[in-house]
Formats: sequence, C-alpha cells, structure tokens
Amino acid sequence: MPEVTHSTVVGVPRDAVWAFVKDMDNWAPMLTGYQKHVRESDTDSVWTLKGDVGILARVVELAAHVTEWCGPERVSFTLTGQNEPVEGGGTLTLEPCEPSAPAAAPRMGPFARLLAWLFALLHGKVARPALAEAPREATRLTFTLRMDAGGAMGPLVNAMLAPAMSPACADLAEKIAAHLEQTHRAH
Amino acid sequence: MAWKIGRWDASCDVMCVGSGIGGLSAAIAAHDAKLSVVVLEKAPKLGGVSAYSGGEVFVPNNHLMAAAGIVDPIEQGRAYLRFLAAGWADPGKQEQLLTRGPEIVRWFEQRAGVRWKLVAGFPDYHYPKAPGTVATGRYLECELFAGKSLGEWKDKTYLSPHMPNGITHDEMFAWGGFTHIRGWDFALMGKRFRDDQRGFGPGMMGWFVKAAMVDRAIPAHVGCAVRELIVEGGAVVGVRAEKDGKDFFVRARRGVVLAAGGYDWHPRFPRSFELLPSWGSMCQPTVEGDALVMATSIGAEVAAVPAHNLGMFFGYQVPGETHEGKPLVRGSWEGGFPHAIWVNRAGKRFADESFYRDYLPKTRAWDGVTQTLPNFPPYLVFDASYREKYPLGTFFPGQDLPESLVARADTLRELGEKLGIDGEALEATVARWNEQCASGRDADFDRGTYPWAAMMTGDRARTNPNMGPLDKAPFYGLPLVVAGVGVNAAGLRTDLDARVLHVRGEPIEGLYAAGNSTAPLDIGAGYQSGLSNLRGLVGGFVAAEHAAKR
Repeated sequence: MPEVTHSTVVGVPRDAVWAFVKDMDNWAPMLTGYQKHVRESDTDSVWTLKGDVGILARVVELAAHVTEWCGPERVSFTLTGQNEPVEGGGTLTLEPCEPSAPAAAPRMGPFARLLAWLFALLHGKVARPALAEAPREATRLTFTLRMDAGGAMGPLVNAMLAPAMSPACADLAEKIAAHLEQTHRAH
Repeated sequence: MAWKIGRWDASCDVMCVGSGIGGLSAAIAAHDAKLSVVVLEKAPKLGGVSAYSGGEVFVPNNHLMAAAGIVDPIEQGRAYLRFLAAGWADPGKQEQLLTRGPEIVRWFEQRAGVRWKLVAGFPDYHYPKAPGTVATGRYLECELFAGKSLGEWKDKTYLSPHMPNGITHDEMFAWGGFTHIRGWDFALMGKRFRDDQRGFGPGMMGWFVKAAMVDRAIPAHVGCAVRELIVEGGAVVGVRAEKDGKDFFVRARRGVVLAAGGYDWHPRFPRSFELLPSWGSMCQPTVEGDALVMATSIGAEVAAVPAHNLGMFFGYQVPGETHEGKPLVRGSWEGGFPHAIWVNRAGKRFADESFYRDYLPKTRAWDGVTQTLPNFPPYLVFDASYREKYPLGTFFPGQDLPESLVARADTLRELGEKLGIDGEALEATVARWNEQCASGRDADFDRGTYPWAAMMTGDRARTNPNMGPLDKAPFYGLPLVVAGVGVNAAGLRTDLDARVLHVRGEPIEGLYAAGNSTAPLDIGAGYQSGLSNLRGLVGGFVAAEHAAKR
C-alpha cells in the first residue's frame, strides 16, 4: 500500500492553523486534481478528483469519512473509492514547534518577485516567500496519506500511484502553509 | 520576422524538427555522417507520436525473420505492399520502403544499439486473404527499455496513455490479449513500472532517444516550436523558432528535416483532407500540422491518397480525461470483442467490426440520395455478458461505467431510444446476429476470419474468437468518435531523397520531410500497422544521407 508523508513548518500559531484546516471548504481547492466536494455531514463528504497516473487519467469520486476529530492536534480520515476500487486514508497532525529563523535569502526586488510569481504560475508550485522576521509561534503540519488500489489491476495501479502521491501530498501541505503565512502576515 | 541576414543565434548542419522516429532517425544518421545536428521539439517531451504508438515497425524480409528461419522473398513483400497501395502509391517510394527498410532497421541495430525483436506469431493484417501476406515475422518491436538509462531525459521522454506499461506484444498475447485482461500479470507490470521498464512505443522511442541524446549527445530542445522556414536564394537555410515566448534563429547549413507529424489537432486540416465532419485524436495536442503550414508557405506541394482506409480508429472520450489540456480520446477495439457489435443510426450492422480495414471505409461511405454519411458515427452496443468478461478501455470487467459515457437499458428497444437510433431495427439486428453466433459464422460480414483480428480483438478461447451473442440484459451502448493516430491522408510531397518538392515540381533545396509530415505515397490507399514507423525511419535516414552529400 503506497503511503507518503510530508511535513512542513508554518509560521503561524497552532490554533490559527486548526481554525483554517478544520473547515475543508478552506483548503479543498488546494488539492491536486480537485474538481469538487460535497459535504454530507460533519464527518462525511464526497470528493471528486481528477487523477492522472499513466494510462489511467480518471475522474475519481472518493467518500471521505472522518474517524478522529481531535482539534487542534489531529484529524484522521478514511477514503473509499465510489467509482474505482481504491481505499485509503490519512492523518493531518498539528504540533507546536520552534519557529524557523527567517530565510537568509536576499530580499527580492520587483523583477525577482515577478519571476518567482511566474515560475509558480507556470509550474503550479508554491513559492513560499521568506518571512521578513521570525514568527513568535509556529506549527509543524504533517500530512500522511495512504492509498490502496484493489482488484486485479491493483498491483499496477499502486505502482503508478506511489510516485504521484508524494508530490500531491507535499503540494497540499505547502499550499496550506503558504496561504496561512500570507494571511497571518496581512493581519 | 525580425531576422536579418547573418543574424543567427545558433547554427548546425542538420536541424530536425520533431523528435519522433522520423526526426531521430535523421538526427542519428546525420550525426554518424559527421554532421552537427540539433533537434527541436514543440512538445514538452521527446518521442512524438511514435512514443504513443504500439511501437511496431513493419518490415518485410527483415534480418530477424531470416535469423529465425522464416523465408520472406522480396517479391512476396512487394505483392502485399502493392495490394495495400491499390494503385495509389508512388512505385519508387514504395520500392524504397521495401528494399531499404530492412537495411536501415539493421543499421540502427548495429550502429545505434536499438534492440529489435520479432513479435511472435503476429500475422499481417490481411493474412491469409491478400497476396504476399505472411503469418508471422514482419512486425518488429523493441526489447524492453530501461528508462533510467535516459539520464536527464528520463522524465522528458513520453510514456503513452494508450499502451500497456512495461510489457511486450508477446507477453500481452500470451496472456490472452485485451479480452483476457483478467489474466494479465499486473504484479509483473507493477514491478516493471517501478523499475521504469518501457515497452511498445515508449520503449521504442526510449532506445532512439538514448541513441541520439545520451550516446551521441545530440542537443535537443523541448517546448521549442519551429514557426517559420528561412529561405535564401530559393534554398532553406534555417528556421525561426520560439522558446519561452522569444524568437531565436538557427542556421541549418545542410538542411532542415520536417518530422513534426501530421495535422490531427489543426483546426481545419482534418476536415479539409480527411473528409469527415468531425475529428478527434489520440496524439499529443502539439500535432498541429506545423510541417504543412511552414512548407506550403514557401511553395511546397501537398499530396494525398484516398482518405478512406488509412490508419485511424474510432473511440470515445471518457468525461474528465485529458492530456496536456485537451480531451483524451481513447481508441476502441471493443467492437470486435464477442458480445459486442457496431450499428449505424438505422440500427443496422454495416461492417466486420473486428477488422478496421473493413469498417473504416464503410463508416466513411457517402449516401448520395440522402446526402448523408449513414454509418457515421457508429454506435458500439454490448450486453451484460460482455460486461462480466471484457474491459471497456481502462474500465475493468464489471467496473461501473460512467453514465455520461455509456447508455444502459433493460431492452434493446429502450437502448435504441436512449442512443437516438432505431430501436426496433436494433432488436432485429441483434436477433440476426445472435442466430449467426450460434453457427459461429457471420454470413453478412465474415467477422472473425482474420487471424490478426482474432489476436487483437478476439477471445481466442471461443470457436469464433470475434463472435458472441448479445442476449443478456442489461444492454449498453455509446456513440463513437474519430480517434486519429496522426496517420493522415495528406502531407508534403517528397522525392526519393526525402526532399520536399515545390508545387512546380522541383525540390526545395535544403528542405526535407519524413514520417507523417509527408504524404503517404509510399503506402498508397491501404494501411498496415508498423508502416508509419517504418516510413519515418526510412524517410529520416535518406534525408540525412542526402544532406551529408550536399
């Protein structure tokens, strides 16, 4: 069963991170391949994602069920494919941690900022700007995701899923972090 | 154009526009003739349409046949190619394919390390009904290719959304082919995927990219569209290309080889040249007819063969499936599976659904009385027995099919209504089909009589591999769309040295073309899989030979 973990430090207090992530509507569109999601209850929702793993470029519907809602520390969930034989789950954990020192990178001028923005736009990647000063509080955000394709094709699909999951997981965590740092700084 | 005489950003002897088998054949051959070469590729990865293909190269009288003790006299291959051409080929170009094909294939094995193998037991399309056909030996494919040996090009060389990962034809047929998908060794395929073992088109182009970009260090630029040919004194001397939104000008001292594929994604060319009201493509969206646009802009002649029987398929677009921002059309083999038929709007069968050489021209047939294409689009209809046993594209047997793709009904009449076809006629058609299935003989269209069709679309566990009744509800159906594979009816007219000919008849100095950018005057009005890759290989090679002598 492919399982990936990505961890990143957000220069924002844990309560603020939790306030953001506890509402899936806030971050759902940040998921790679996100099409839509429908909230059915506080613990259940159906997600429509477009996956592209080699020969399988599919729109997948996944039923998400929250199994542990333990704010502001952790949320755990299961995923069940509605139109594909795939199951999985994951955990999002939030831990207070020491703030990172501000990045030593030189301050970017307007042209460099434009280039960084263009790069992010073209490559779909998150360029988190360096913080001007060390935040007073920080949170380690760790996202773990596992998926297991069933059926006869399972071994092949799992082999294809594995390399696709890691960047998707990292991308989500970094987008959440970038969004929180940007909005927190604005306040 | 901002170019002024003498202001070149770079120069080389030979520039190859496109990185499919035609472009890389030219690049490798030119390099080995001591010429400096640059490859410019518009797509974000190397490999072109060849990497999306089955990786078959059809070579009568090839050296591996001889090594395996298979006798294939040249007259035999000639007879088959003439049958396919049906009078529409240029005899000289066809003879070039026949005589130089085996030599050039072997050259790439010996000089460039391309490891060919025979596809065992795979018959010519028309075997045994057409003259000169053989039961095995003419299809070559490559041994599995290790992607890791591509170095920096590993993730910049195309895999295919259309072909099985990491296996050979021999393995696929040994597992029973498409109809026996449940018996495929997916554990082995998963391991091969993790190890980046590549087969079919991606494997073949892996060997060529390695030979060109890794072993010979030929420079290649992806995401780099060539927009314009630069002419001095009537000769092509270079190009204007675009990369990252900027023009740059490259001089090509010995020649420019246009190997940029056909025109599947051009907004007008398919309708103009393929004579169908709509077109879809399995190719990369960058296949936009660039070679035709650039070459005709300087007076090149466009030639064509009858469009009715070339390499194309019908297929479907699964809602939501895209590649590189455009709809992904999947080719459909399912019409030849047991428990499935094709019908037209009138609810009637009109061809042997297992043999696309039969159904393509009949799908294009024009009714001059009603002024319609009565068989366009065709509809694929199948039953619950099919669903239990066979896949639909990448949907496994029994797996739910999207309602937005496939209509479902408890009766054939109701299915006809949902599809907008004559339900009463559909019932009668299926009743007749089911009667014929009982006898194992299709008296109407002779379905199941081609060994090639049995291997590609049949269930070889059955008496007639391509026949099975539609007698178990619910019933399913969908309209099919054109699934072009970049093998087009029209292209640039070239001579035996692959030089592009001006509309007045003389060669345009310094301009060559190969593969699907050229008119298929070497194959004529018919088709046989593996011929497109062969003509790319031969065209690119002879272009390099000529450029080396300029």
